[in-house]
Amino acid sequence: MLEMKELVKRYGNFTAVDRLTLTVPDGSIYGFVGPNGAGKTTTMRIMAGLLQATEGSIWMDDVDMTKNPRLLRTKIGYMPDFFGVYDNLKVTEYMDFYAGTYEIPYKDRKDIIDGLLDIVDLSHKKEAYVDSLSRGMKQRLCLARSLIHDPKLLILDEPASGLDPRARVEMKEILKQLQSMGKTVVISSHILPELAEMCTEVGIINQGKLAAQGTVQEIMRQLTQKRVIYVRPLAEVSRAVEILREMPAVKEITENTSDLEFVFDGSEEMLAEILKHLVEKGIGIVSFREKEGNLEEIFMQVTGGAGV
Amino acid sequence: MMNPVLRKEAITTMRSWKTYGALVVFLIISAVGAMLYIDLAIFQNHDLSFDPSAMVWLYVVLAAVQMGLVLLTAPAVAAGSISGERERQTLDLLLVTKMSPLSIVLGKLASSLMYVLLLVVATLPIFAIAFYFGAVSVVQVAEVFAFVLVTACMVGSVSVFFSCLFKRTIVSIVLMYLVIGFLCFGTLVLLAFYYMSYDGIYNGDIPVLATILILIPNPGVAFFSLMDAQLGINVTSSLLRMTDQTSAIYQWMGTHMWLLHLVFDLAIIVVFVLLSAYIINPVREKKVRKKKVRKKEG
Repeated sequence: MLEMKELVKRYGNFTAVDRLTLTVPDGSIYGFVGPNGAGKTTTMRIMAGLLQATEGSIWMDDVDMTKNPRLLRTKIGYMPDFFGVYDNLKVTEYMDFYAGTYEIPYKDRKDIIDGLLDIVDLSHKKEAYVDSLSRGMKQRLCLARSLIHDPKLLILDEPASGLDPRARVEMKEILKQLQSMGKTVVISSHILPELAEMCTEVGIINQGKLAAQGTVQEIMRQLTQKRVIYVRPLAEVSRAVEILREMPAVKEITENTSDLEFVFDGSEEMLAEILKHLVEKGIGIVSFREKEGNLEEIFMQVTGGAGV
Repeated sequence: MMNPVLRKEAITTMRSWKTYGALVVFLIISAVGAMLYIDLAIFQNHDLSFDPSAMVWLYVVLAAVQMGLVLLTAPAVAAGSISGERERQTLDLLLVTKMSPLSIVLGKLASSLMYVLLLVVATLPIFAIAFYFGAVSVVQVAEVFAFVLVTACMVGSVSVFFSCLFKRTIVSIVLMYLVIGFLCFGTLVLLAFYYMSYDGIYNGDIPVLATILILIPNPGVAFFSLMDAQLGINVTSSLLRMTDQTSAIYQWMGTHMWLLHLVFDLAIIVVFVLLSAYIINPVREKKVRKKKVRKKEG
C-alpha cells in the first residue's frame, strides 16, 4: 500500500502540492485526475523520486520512501508524460541498457526482456531501432522498460497521450493485464471515460489539494448524496409510476416516453423490494439499474469546470 | 558489471557516422602535420641533407598536434553528455533507475574518454614514423599518451559539469572552449601582466614561485615541460626565468611542471565529478535543508 501524508511542494511562494494525503491500495489501478497545473505531474515526480517534497512523506510497506530514495527506485516503475529514446539503439539493447541500470545479472536479462516485450506486444520488433518505432510502440516500450526490475508500483503519467484510439485500447488491455499480475498502478490521463472504465479508485486533485477520493460510485454518492435508479418497463410506464409513488423510499420520479427514473433513499433490501413489487403488480421489467457514476460529471463538479 | 551508461554509449557511438567522420579528420590533420614537417625538414633544407636527429622534432610536432586536437575534441564530446540526455528527454528515465548520480556521471565521463582514447590510439601508426628513425622510445610515447588522456579527463570532467549546469549543449561547449582558451592563453596573458606590474614597481627579479603557480593550470606549458623532460629541448625553462640562484625546490618544480599540472588535473577531475553528481541528484535539496535545520537548531 502506498500512502502519502501531508505532502507539500513549494516553488518559492507558489505551492504546487498542498498537504496532499492519499492512499493507494495494493493491486489497484488508481486514476489521478485534475485540471492542468493542478499538481498531478509534480506529485507523480515526487512519488518517482525525481523531486524532493518540501514537506510530508510517502510510505510504502511501512518504509518512509522520502528518506530512502534508492529503495524507492527499486520498488517503483515510472513512465513520464514526455520522454525520448536513444538513436542507434535496438529494442533489445534499449531494454538491456535499463536492465543494467537496475543491476539485473546478464544471465537473467534475455528471459526478462523477452517476457516483457511479449506483454507489450513488441516481440516482433526486437531487432528494430528504437527511434524507428511508432509513437504507440515507443509508449509500450517505455512501459516495458519501467517493468524491467519487476516493480511493485507503476507510476504512469499520461501514458495514452498522443495515441490513436487503437493504441489506447491496447495500452488499456496491457494495464489490465498488469493489474491481474498483482501490480499497483497509479495513472493520470486526460481521457476520463477510459480512466473511469479501468480504474478501481480515483483521486481528484485541484490546486494541489485532494478534492475527492474513492471509487467513481462512492465519489458520485458523496457529491450528489442520492442514488438515481433507471427503470424500463416493457409497457405501461404511467402505471409503473403510480405504483412507485406508493413506495416510501422513492422520491422525485421522472417519466419519459419509454422509461422512468427515480431518486431512491433507502437500503439495498428496500430497492430489491421495489423491483419485486413492480413485478408482482404485473409490470414487465426490461431493465432496472442504478445510474452509473460519470467521471466527467464528477470532475466538472469538483473542479468547478476547469479543463483537464 | 560494466557501467551500463558506458556500455550503451559505446554501442551508440560506434554506430554513428559522426564518430568515423571525426576520426578521419583527426587522422588527416595528424598525417598532414607529419608530412609537412618531413617536407620542411628534408626537402626544404638548403643543402638537401637529412639529419635523423631532427625526427625528435617530428615527435614533438605530432604530440603537440594530438594534444591540441584532444583539447578541441574532448569538450565537443563531453559537453553534451548530460544536457544531451535532457534535450532528448531521457535524463529522468536514467535518474529513476538504481544508478547513483555519481555512476551516471562517471559513465558519461568514461564514455567521452573512450572516444578520445580511440582517437589517440588511432594516431599510433603516424607516431611510428618517429619510431622508425629511433627518435623516441615506446615508454616516452606511452607517457605522452597518458598525459594527453589525463588532460582529456580534466577537460571532460569540467565539460560534464557544464553539461549538468546548463540545459543547452551549445552553451556548455562554448563555455568549455572559453575555459580552455583561458588555461592555454589566458594564463600567459596573466603572467605577462604580472611581469609588467612587477617590473614596474620593483624593477627586480620576478618571483619564480608566482610564475610557476600561474602556469600550473596551463596544459600547453605542462605539455612542453614533459617534452623538455623527455628530450631535453628546454622550451619552458626560459618562460619560467629560472637562474642558477633559483632555489632547488623551485628548480625541481620548474622542471616538473607536467607533474604539477597532472596533480592539478586530478584535483579538478575529483572536484568537478563530485559537483556534477551533486547537481543531477534530484533529491539533493533534502540534504541542504537538513543541514540548514541543524544549523538553526545548533
